[in-house]
Amino acid sequence: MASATDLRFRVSSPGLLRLPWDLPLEQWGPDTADLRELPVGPSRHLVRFPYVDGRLWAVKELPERVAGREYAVLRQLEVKDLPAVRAVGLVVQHESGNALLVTRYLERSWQFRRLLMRLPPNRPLHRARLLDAMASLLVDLHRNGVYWGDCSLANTLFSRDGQRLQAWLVDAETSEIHPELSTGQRLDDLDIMVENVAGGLLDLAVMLDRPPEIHAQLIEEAAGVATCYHELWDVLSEQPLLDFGDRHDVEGRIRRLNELGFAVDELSLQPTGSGDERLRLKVTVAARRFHAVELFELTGLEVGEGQAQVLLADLHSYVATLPDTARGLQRGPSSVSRAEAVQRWLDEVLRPLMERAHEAVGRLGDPVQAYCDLLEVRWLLSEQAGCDIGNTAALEALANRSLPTDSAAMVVVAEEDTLEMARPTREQLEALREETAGTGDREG
Amino acid sequence: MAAIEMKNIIKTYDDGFPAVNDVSLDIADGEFMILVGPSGCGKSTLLRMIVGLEDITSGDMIIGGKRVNDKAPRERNLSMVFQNYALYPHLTVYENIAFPLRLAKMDDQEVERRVQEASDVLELHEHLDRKPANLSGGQRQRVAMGRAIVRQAEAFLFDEPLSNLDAKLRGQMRTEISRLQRRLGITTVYVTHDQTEAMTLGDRVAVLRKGLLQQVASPRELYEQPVNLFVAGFIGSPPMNFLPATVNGSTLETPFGEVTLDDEKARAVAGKDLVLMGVRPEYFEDASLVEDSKRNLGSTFTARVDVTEWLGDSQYAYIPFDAPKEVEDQLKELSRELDSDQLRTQAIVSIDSTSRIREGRDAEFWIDTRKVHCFDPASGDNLTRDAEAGAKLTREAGEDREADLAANAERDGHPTSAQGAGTAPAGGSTRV
Repeated sequence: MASATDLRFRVSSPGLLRLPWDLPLEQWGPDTADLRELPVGPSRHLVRFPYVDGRLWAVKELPERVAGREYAVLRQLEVKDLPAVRAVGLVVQHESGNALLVTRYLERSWQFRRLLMRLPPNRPLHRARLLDAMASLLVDLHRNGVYWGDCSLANTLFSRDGQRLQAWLVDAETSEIHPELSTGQRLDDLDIMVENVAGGLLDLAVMLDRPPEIHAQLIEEAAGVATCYHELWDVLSEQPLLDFGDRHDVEGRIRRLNELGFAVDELSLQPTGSGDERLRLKVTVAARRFHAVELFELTGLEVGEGQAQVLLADLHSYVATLPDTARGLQRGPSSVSRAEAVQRWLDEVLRPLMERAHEAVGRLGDPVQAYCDLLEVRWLLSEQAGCDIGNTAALEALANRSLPTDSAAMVVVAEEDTLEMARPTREQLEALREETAGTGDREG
Repeated sequence: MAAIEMKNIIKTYDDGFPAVNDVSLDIADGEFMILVGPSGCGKSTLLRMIVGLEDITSGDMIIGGKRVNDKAPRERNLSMVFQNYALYPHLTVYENIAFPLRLAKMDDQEVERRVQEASDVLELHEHLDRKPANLSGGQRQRVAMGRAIVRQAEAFLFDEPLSNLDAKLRGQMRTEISRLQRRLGITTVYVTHDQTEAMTLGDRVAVLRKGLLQQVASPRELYEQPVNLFVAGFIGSPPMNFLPATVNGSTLETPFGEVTLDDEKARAVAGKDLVLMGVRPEYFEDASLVEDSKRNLGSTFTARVDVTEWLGDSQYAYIPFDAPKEVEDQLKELSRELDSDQLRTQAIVSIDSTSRIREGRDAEFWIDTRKVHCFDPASGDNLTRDAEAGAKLTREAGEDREADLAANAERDGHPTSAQGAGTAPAGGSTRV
């Protein structure tokens, strides 16, 4: 009954409006919606994925109060520009007391199972990239006063970003946003994450029939997320006391923050007020986009921070090979030659090779990422060979998928799966049914 | 398992807003304590201070005899049940329960002992080798509880755990939580805004309002001897009716006619010009159905019925009344504060389901005046509260709880830590 349904959308997608919003999600059928099956793993609530107006959306059914809260949290995460899925709609079905929360499905992203299942078995380095991304995401959230409350591998999506992975918060049902988090909130969230990550890894290991001997190692790796988190948190939040004469120390600290991808938003050196002559250094950092901003300013390219790090290194090494006249990039304010150097790199290196790399990976994923993969593969294979193998050999390796086992480029194999996501195999569907039937409501 | 003591707990935010204001509360070892109140009353903040999620501005939080103000959540060894847990689809029920112990690298023998013990309590024995997919919804919830049990936490904490569930599972889980708490005899603090949960689960209920503790007592004491207008209005559904009443010696002049008070109540309202007379819906009746022997224990009046609601086993009649503006404003304010759209200037009265009272007609009603309370309209205080009778109710609830725990311990063949130790403060209701 239309009158008992409240619709709120933040996108203008005519097809989305035509979905059967007055029906319980369970009753949506092929006659009313083009639904895709995604092996998303267990979820507290029913989630379905309609394909509408050329895009995939996630629709989750949950009690109205919880849905309203999650919608509000996701909106705030968006305002804070944090890596989280974007809420695009909330439909309240007053009669049932339920609501349907609509989010945009994150393109080119994967759930951890999909990612790890596609990669060579038991390679700690791949897991480490995943877990680094989790720790980094949690630090980002905590810096912005966000208590996640249920950080797990299953509630996270991963996308590629150069040689790293970017983690995205997917489920904010238990999340809260505060002006600032207490230490207790942070530590509790971290404990939850470590426990959930260990659980997720063990579950996957059992599912894949990995030998039980690796369980202890997986638990160790999950515990390592906390170490990663603390290291990053400490760097970002330390407030050292410096003598006035040691102001140069500040520079080193800022460089370290920049290397980690953080630009300094504000820096203050203030007396402690306790009669001590030393000054307390406080550094507020902006979002983790230091290299991305630098690359954008130089080239106009908009890419992820991890990709920007790779591209900038490539740009700098290219410039180093140019004759002095064109090395304005390194020499200072000679804007013409600097611009010229950048342009030459774009025209002669990046664009043609990016095209070839993208071709080599079968036009999967993002072309910039394909170029990052090419650079990594060339580097690693050259190291193995003891000499530069050149682009052609590296492109061939990319095309043949004869990639170094632990390379970030290996993740390209997960991209291939993405094309198949709308058409799962029978086994995948069975596994999905088993999983969701088993844990459809895991909260009590 | 441990007692939880809160001494003058204050939580003030940076903007100076006191979310919790000087709360002192003792929760006995093994006791099931409910924190209840409308949104913004501070109940969740208080729970989070127990857990360690919120810093305590001042006061002492003591768990198991140790001050924990500066301890991290994990060091407090409390278990937030259902807050966030996942059942892992490929792990057996056994491993799903054992999981936190594996993380703690506990030896297999101890893991085995604890999982078996938990599955005894939860009646999950025959399911231990299964996968979660093969369990019913309720069984899956029990697996999650199993995970909390094997941790051997000092206390279980619940923060509105049932609010995300559908009505059927909610009812099931309420029973399950109650049974489990009794069986384990574990100290439990449970936050809810749902008074059905508050009244059915708790040994004692702490009612909070704007960060201040109003009353801590057994559900029955709260219901029968509330300390003030707020508690009286919050506890009970449909809520207590409040009628403006002019005091004239031992007689109250109400919109429904004169009501005569007994001597004790008359003494309590002496000196007041106006009071609010509180009458629960079930203390009214269709006068034609009241036996003569009972009739003179109350007052009768005639009023026009606006609406009746027949629910099969029960029936309600709605009777509008006029109130002076000051009273009307106060009732509106109370209603707003309680997130209620009731408590307006109409009485909700419960009448026998066989009553033939009809809408739009005058009917004769009876009020059991022995059960009315009179509240000071300015302060909201209950002028006619019988503290002794209230304390007795809470004392009895405490005795029942101890008897339950002892019976469970005997059945399980081992004494629970709560046995003998779990005595609620003997004074019954605490008024703060």
